[in-house]
Amino acid sequence: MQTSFTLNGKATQVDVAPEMPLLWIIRDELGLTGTKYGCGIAQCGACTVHIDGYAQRACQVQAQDLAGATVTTIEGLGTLANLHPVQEAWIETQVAQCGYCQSGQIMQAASLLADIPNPTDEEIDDAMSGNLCRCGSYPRIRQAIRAAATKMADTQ
Amino acid sequence: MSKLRTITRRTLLIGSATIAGGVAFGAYLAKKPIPNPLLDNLGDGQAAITPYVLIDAAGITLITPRADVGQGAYTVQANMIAEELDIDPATATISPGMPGPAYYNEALLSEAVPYPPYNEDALPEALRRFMSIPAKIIGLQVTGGSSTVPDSYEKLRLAGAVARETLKQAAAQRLGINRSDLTTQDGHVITPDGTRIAYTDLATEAATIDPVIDVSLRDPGQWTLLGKPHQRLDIIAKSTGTET
Ligand code: FES
Ligand code: FES
Repeated sequence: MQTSFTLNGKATQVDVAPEMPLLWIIRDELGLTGTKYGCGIAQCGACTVHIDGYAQRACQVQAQDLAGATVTTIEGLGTLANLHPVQEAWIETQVAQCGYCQSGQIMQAASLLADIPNPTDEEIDDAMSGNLCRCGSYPRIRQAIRAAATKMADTQ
Repeated sequence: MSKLRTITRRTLLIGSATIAGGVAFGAYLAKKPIPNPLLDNLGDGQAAITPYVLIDAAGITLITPRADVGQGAYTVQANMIAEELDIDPATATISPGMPGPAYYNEALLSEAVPYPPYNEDALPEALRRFMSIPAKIIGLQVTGGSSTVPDSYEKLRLAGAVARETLKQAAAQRLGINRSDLTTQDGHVITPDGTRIAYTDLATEAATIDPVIDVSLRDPGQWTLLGKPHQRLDIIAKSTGTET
């Protein structure tokens, strides 16, 4: 089937099987490999992207549900020349170890802060508990989210 | 201070080779009288170079053969080369390179001896040194056992030092002055009058001359990179979805 949506600000059209997950569309059809495949069954968060502004698991959204959606991946969140505050905080805190989970962590954190600009520790844990990190970078993830919250408050 | 003698005893020779448009510095595995199955396809007197430093007009590439899964191995390996080469490692391309026998890990098996790591008596120490021989013969190119720094500590700094001195020699020959009158800084050879010649501009000339291999390694007191905290070189790529 043909479907049209907005990907990182650009009108995008693909012709794929209706049940193809968005994660496949992003990585295999469109060649954006910043979003990672971890489990394929909504258990790890590595594939997290924003759909209409909210964090969603790209492995669980099918082509047939995509028409008209606005999708943002890590590539669209910020670039080296124009980093998102969450990415700045992630770099300053040196959160990433192997890095595999980090695109998902960053997208989840950005969605959390858009929703709750100054989250409590409990709110951070609630929002981030579905994003697993095999390297165990959780303490730095929490630290970076707090740093990003401060940055975003300062620029407002 | 590590001199060439130590290196030849280990049959690790840092040398240079011409590459398209530039120069490579790395370890030579020379054909030895003792049979080494890894070198069967080398003719007598032939040598294979396994590079650690590649320089051409486009830039400098540092080869960091031990894998990085977040422990910072690429960064520390790049810093070991850069410390002697006098470059900012953030300006170089970092590449794990191709698998090659000269990248064998001589530190990996050193704890595969029947003594705990804290036993530093003469016999365990001698056995640990001996274990570098099987590691070489089987050409183990492995990352693990906290061996990256012990294994690379001398090799990578030597590769950087040989590259630096050879680039200075190339500049000396171009200008008709002595290598000892030149210094290096931030990817450039500096002449006595302060002129800066980029390494990238010297690469093809450096490939045509004999490499300067009688180098000594800098004293830790002179280090500007090693022993200091650094941002990992891959941290930006891993935070922007561009790590490959
Ligand atoms: S790949 Fe989608 S949640 Fe694991
Ligand atoms: S950084 Fe390795 S899985 Fe999270």
